[in-house]
Amino acid sequence: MRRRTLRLLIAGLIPATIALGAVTGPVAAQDPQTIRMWTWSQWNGVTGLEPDGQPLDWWRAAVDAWAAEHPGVTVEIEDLNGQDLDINAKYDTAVAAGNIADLIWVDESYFSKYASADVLAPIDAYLTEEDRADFLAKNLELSAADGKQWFWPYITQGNHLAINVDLFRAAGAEDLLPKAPDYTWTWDEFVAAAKAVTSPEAFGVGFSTDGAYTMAEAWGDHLYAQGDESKVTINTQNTVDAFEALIGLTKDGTAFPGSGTGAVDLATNFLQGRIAMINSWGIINDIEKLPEGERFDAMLVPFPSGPNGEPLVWGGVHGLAVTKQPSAEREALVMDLAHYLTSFEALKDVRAWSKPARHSIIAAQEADESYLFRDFLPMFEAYTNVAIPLMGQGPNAVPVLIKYEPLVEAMFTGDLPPAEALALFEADANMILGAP
Amino acid sequence: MTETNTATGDRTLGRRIWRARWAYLFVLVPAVLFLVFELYPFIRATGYSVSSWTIRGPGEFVGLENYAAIFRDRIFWKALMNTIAYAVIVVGGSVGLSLVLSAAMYPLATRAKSFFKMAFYLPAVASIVVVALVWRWMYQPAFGLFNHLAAIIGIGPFGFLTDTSQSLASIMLMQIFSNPTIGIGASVILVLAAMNSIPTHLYEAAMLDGAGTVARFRRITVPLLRPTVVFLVIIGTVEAFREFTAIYLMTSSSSGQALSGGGPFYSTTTLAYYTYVQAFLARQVGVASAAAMVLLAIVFVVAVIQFRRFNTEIEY
Amino acid sequence: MATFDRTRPSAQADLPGGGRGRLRPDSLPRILAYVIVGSMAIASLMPLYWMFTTSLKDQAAYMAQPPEMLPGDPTLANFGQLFANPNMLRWIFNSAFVALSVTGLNLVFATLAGYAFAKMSFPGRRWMFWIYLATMMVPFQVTIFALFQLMVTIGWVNTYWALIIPAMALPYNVFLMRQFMHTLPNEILDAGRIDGCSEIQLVRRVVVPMSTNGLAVVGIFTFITTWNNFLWPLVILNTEEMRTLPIALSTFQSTNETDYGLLMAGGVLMAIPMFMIFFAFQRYFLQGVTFGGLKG
Repeated sequence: MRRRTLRLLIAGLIPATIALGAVTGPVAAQDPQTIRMWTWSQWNGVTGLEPDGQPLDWWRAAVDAWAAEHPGVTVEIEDLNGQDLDINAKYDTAVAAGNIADLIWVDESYFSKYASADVLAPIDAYLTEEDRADFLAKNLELSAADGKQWFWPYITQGNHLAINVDLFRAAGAEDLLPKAPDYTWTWDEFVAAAKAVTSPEAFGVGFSTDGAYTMAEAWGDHLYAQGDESKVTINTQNTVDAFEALIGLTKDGTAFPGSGTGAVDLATNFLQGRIAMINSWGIINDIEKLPEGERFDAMLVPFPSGPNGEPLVWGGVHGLAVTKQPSAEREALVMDLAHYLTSFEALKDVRAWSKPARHSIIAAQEADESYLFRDFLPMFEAYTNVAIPLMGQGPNAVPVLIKYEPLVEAMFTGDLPPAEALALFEADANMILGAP
Repeated sequence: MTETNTATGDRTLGRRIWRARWAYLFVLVPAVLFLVFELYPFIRATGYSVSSWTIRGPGEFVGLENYAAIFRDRIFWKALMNTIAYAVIVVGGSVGLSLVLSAAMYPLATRAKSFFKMAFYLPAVASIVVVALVWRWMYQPAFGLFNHLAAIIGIGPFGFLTDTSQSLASIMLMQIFSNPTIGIGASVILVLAAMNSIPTHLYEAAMLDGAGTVARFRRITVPLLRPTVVFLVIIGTVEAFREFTAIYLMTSSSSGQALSGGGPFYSTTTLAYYTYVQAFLARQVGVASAAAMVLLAIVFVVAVIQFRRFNTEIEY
Repeated sequence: MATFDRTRPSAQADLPGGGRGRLRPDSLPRILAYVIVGSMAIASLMPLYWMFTTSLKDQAAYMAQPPEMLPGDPTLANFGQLFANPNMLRWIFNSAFVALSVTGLNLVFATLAGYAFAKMSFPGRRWMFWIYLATMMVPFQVTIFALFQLMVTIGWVNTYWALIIPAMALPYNVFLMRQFMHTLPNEILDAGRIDGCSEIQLVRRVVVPMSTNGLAVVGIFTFITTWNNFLWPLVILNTEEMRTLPIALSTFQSTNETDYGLLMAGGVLMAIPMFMIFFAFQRYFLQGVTFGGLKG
């Protein structure tokens, strides 16, 4: 292009940059009437069923409904989903900088670190009797520390097996699947089913690293001695046996290659019918979004139980925590928003598979005969009571888990035998926990 | 342009600075940027590396404890080994392959050369986000392209990213082909241009003396390519030590809520990645800063060594 | 030290037959050369080809086994879905605005600084340049966290400022321009000075017109690297509207499922402008890559 034009362009860019550079995205709110919120979405769309729903639709709709009752207040929502930087890091950075949002998503493994650092405001004063009765007892238990409640439960979490029933039908193995009402099954039944459905086109089962250690824990030995997070106690013969059984599945071709290593994309392969069973949090929602010809019948079941016979579900709870506010009025305002967003009224119309945190919402879904996932509700209710927070709830939950995962991976890549990996992990973990 | 060192009359420091005022103006912006956005954070980071870390920021001074912590950490040493292996093989492989390719391309027609240059450079222009993902997809053990091709030839199947003995090599291969700075893309172009500027009369003379193709290559091309190769090796090594994004994109888990990447079992954890894990996952920013300082020291030492050893023809 | 001959980039074209060992058309070595280079070229292009074809496939097709080399049923649905996202245009704007600004600013400031380091003598030139060069070596991991804290302190988190200002005069560009400026003949500059030109005028009237090659190189490289930049925008941007394309693209990879078709479509969208720039300015590109290398 002509030199002159080029020079003019460059000359013009400088003032333009200065002018536009002052344009900012929403930044730390100075305005007392603005509430900042950081969260992410379990489902797309408002009810979860819209074909072109976007991740933040429900949040925006709910917030708008609340804001209509509170004129003059603006709520800014930021979507954490897809933020590759761990949410932990984002929160820490913001705390250090003093600009953490007013309302933040947390789960049972994240919150206590911030609670004990005086970042969060306890919600007890704002929990009504009705709330206490309506929230699932387990959720309240998991969101408590030091005798106080620290966040508003929003979704009950669970890692379970998602199953492609069509594949089982095609293999004539449908009767090997667990049955209603609570769909529990034993390890042997599970393996039999997995083997029956394995074919050249599809693997029987696929599991991620966290799927692997969850399933291993189903054999009866828990990461922490039940309820006490001061010490890791997982290095037992039961656990070794469990892992060896899982490793066996990868060796004899039943499990998707790469299972346990975290280096493969289970979800996409599952949705394409290449794996019959995977561990999943919410892939059911994605099945519904597949084009007509590719959808398949699916079911959700707990992991199989090991020799001790007890079903295990890795449970947890997601919720909204309110960070410490400068004034009582503001705290009341933000608490009100949080209360609304986790209330029956805001969530009653959601028809995605969302594992509600309130009895009232479960009842509403059960009553709705058109609810696609109605069949799973009994299972869900059964397991919420036995759910165990796998990562733990304490402040060291995440650092311990960071040590665990690579060692689990090592078992599946064949680098370390299970006994050795578990011994190493116990040593590392207990060092973090300061245990003897 | 020589610098004067005497300080008499017209050449006092003050005078010289005044006479050179335009120069200072011209370098003003980069200088300010350097001070504010490089030097200042660097100094603070040094501070972090000798402090403890609380949820609210740097804590108290703890001396060299962070450094001791990383030297005690067996994962740090694994990361160091991985980093060295990575740098050596990627740089060596890339430079070596570029030399071979350039030598093979050189005598071809201009059209063909242009086409091939484009073919090698194009991946460097596309975003690493997608390139890494495509490679990861091709590396998938079941239903991935590479194992599919391998099966056709009759070898494999390979674990690639899921196998601890192959994962780092898989990433190295990707980098050799796709990395904008240290991949064959830029290197081939550089080497070809360098070959281009070797004066032809040298070859003519050698031919007249009866030297064959190989001899001409060995005696003329290779020595005269030395400065270019040295440049590639130095820049490549520095870049390789700093590499983070590609490893992150290739190995972070996309299923479940795994909190680590750089796996499996740390097989692709490099020092840069280790720093990331410490800072953003384990939330030990003090330790992360210490590790970053160690990384910097290594980069610096390696660069200086290479520079000194090979600095016969690089002009200042 | 070999000099770069700007006026005759391919001097060897003049020589009859085998001046540099040019191979005869049908000889075996020539065929071998084509095979080696050709296969490597295919390997190099394969991921890009895969990206293009996957962007045209629907979900069933891209998971097909065996993998489809040619999209059997090409569809533009993925691209449609990309633009259905309300933020897509904003993301494109963000990337373009930042890339153009950074490029423009670099063209100005890196040129001035490069010229100063190359052609002007001033006290401290030597060590300033070496320190500056040293910063190119410092791994980002050392400074990133403190840099972020700084951004927080001055209130630049999640702003265009944070993406543009720190990158206004990249050391690599200063280095590149300096190398380039070294090749400018001193006589013309001295003549200008004797004629009474101020330094600014000298730069405007003499240096810049002679530096179009170098400017083109800096411009193109800066634009592309800024366009593709991932880590810093990831750290410093935290609302959806402010995201640049690479970050936005990476969010398509969710914890549950990666829509590869969509992701590849996004990749194609990002890559097409870059490819177009590459092809249009190929000459400068190829020259440009050499500047850093030949002069060391």
